[in-house]
Amino acid sequence: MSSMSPSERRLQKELMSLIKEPPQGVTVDTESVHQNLSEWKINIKGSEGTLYEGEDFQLLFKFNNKYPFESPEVTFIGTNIPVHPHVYSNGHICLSILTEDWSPALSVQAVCLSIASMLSSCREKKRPPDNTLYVKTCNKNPKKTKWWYHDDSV
Amino acid sequence: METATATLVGEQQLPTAPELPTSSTNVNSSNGNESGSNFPNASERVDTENIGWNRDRTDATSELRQRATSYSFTGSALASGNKSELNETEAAGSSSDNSATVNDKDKDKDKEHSEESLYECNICLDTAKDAVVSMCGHLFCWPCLHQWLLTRPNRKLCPVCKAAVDKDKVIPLYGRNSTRQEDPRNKVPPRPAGQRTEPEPAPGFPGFGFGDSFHMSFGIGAFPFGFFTSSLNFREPRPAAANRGTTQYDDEQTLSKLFLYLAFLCIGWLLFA
Repeated sequence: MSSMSPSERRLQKELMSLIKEPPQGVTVDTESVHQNLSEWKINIKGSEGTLYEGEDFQLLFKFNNKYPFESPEVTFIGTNIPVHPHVYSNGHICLSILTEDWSPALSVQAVCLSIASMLSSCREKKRPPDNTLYVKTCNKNPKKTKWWYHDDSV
Repeated sequence: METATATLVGEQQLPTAPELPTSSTNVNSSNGNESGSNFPNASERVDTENIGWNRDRTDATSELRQRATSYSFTGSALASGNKSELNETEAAGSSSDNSATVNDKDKDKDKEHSEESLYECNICLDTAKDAVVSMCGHLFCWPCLHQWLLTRPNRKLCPVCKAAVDKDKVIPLYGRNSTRQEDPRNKVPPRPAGQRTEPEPAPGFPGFGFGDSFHMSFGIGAFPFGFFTSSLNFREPRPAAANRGTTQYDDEQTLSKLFLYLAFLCIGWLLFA
């Protein structure tokens, strides 16, 4: 156990608490995690009373060995990518805590809650204005994108 | 789900285990026995604790379960320090019907967990080792916080509340036996020293020495008298220099050097202009 790296130890702890006390509408795909502790698939349900009610989304978290000092790489995957002004159709999410506002005190659970809250506060389902261009030109890793965080309302 | 709860219980007991070195050998051997009874490939399991990031699925699952069970038992046994309980749990663990025992322990540990998590590092989520606390009151292991400060050298913010945080703005916490338990490997990024201000010395002859305590001050006044009166004031004792290593000391050193250069500049200007 002591030979586990600090990032693995922390991921284990987070996994256990997420399995034991998951936030509402959030479930971990434990199969995927058991295969590979550095890539988690997490299912998120659109909350009731929001534009995404009844929809199911899947998030992919990729952790590198510098976690939690570096943020995880978080994207929406699967067939249903939410239509949201901060979510590109390739699954990339424009969310400041995923890059420059990341803090090691944040956790997978905190990121899931932030994303759920981002979805819930959406007023109008639409793609970001630069979606077509971005999806064509971006790097596969959303953390390589120089994000410009300007809209705090959603 | 049972696996999950049991595993969690195991995880939260982790910090306690290494802190009780006396009974560790005993417990380790019981781990071996226990996992041996539950898992056919126990010998391999124990040897390959150093798991990598990628491993095939069955392996990872059993690893998870095995670790969970062994740690939940060692944890509870160590926490209570009761050998007979250890044996009893071990016995329960090796029989297939151990769910009742685990559930009972669950409740106890929930309480323990809430108390224990008060002293968990906000970064590694373990009980803080070489603990430091920020001015905003957030607890970290010093190695964890140190690494975070290195990660973002230009934006040193508290991971929890984003208040400004820095090496000289954290306070080390020393428990009663902290020095005895300290592992030298943990000192690699040295914890900032506790600051201790010396009391004001009794007024007396301040001394001339040009060695360690050489300071130069600079004042504005009618030249040349102002300069001399400000720098050659033998009558009143100077306030004591700040302790080495403190911020005040660093500041004073910088200021002292700055004024020294300024003085040289002025003298040079007077000579050559």
